[in-house]
Amino acid sequence: MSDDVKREMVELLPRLRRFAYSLTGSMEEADDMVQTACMKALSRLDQFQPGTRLDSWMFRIVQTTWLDHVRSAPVQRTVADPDALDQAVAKDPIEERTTARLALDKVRQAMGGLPEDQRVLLGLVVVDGLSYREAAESLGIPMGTVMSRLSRARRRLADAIETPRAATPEGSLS
Amino acid sequence: MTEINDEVLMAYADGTLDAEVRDAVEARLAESPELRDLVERMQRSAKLLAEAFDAPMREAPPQALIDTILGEESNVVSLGQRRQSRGAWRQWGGLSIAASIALAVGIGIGSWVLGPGAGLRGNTYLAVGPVPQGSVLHQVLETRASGDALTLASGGQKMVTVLTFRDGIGRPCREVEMVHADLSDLPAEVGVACRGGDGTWTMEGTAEVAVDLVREGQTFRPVAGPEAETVEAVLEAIGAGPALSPDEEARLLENGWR
Repeated sequence: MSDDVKREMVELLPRLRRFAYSLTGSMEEADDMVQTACMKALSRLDQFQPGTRLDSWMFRIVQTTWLDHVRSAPVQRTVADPDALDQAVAKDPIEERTTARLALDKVRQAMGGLPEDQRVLLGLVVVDGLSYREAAESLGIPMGTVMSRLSRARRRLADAIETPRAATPEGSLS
Repeated sequence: MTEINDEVLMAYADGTLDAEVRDAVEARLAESPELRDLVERMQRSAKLLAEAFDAPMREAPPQALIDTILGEESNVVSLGQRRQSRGAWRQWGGLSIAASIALAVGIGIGSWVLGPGAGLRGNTYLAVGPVPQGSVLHQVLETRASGDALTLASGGQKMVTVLTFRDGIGRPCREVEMVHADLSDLPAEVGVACRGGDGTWTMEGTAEVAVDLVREGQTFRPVAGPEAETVEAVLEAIGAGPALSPDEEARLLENGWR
């Protein structure tokens, strides 16, 4: 049984790395995190209920691993400095930076500036493609919380990468 | 009438609304360029976000991650003399014969980029102070047996605890090393961490290990520099007791350090 679970866990690695990458913004940190999460998962494999979704379970472990790390090592974390990024781009004469490329840099940077709980939901729903309900189940939070938190995140993300053509007031649009 | 708030607009942008609500939203959008703009930006930014983090889906995961899961890692480091006594540091300072030979070969083929006396510098994984929860180091200290090395998926270095002991006030403590595979498996960083009653690990002392190369005929013999003594001083300061046997250590790991 546990061998099957392990094989399934290996198959999940690309998705786990992608989720972790979306949270940390760094592939190196993502790999550290996924590795830690896998060790954690293996040490409590008896808590996994066969027949339930391994991806949900693993996503949640990755998420708690990340939050543990962010909260206990705040000094090591830096938020990307937009000016520094612009300079880095400007100083790069060899590599041709296309508009699309810049847009991707910008969206990664916007993601890194969002609160942790919003990043988690964007990672699960927008990056991995889980449904709102699946995300709620994976995190063990109510559907309503997912909807309100995620919609805030989506608006902030939309505003961060493109200036609205006209101001749309946040919240009450009824 | 359906309230058109951000949640409804998001669900519309994602195409998850049922027909009735969708029609109501579209009626509102038809008369509001601002809302149409917001929906379009939500869609475009979502597409960009998914693309921005897609790289891991297009490459094979690091082998170290697969090995961690399948447990097929044959990375057990011979602890040999390091385990024997509390005087382990002096013995360790001499390094193993195998490591000395490998290092000499490394010099021979010119891959040894550091001159004699240079420290083996790299990422500093072991830092004095609280060990962050959720870090690889925390997980290794908490759950891995001495000698059972973990190859880091992020950089290829190995992290390995080499022995477990109790300090003067009875806390379980572990010596841990970062080993750089490309430097002939020499330990590059060494640390001593102890576990408090609340389950947190604190790194009590670390040393970046400098290796001096002493010429011996045609080859060089590596000897540990003064940093090893720094760690030895830490061990003395915390009143380190004798190394626990593998069985004693296994019991602690099994019982969550109780």
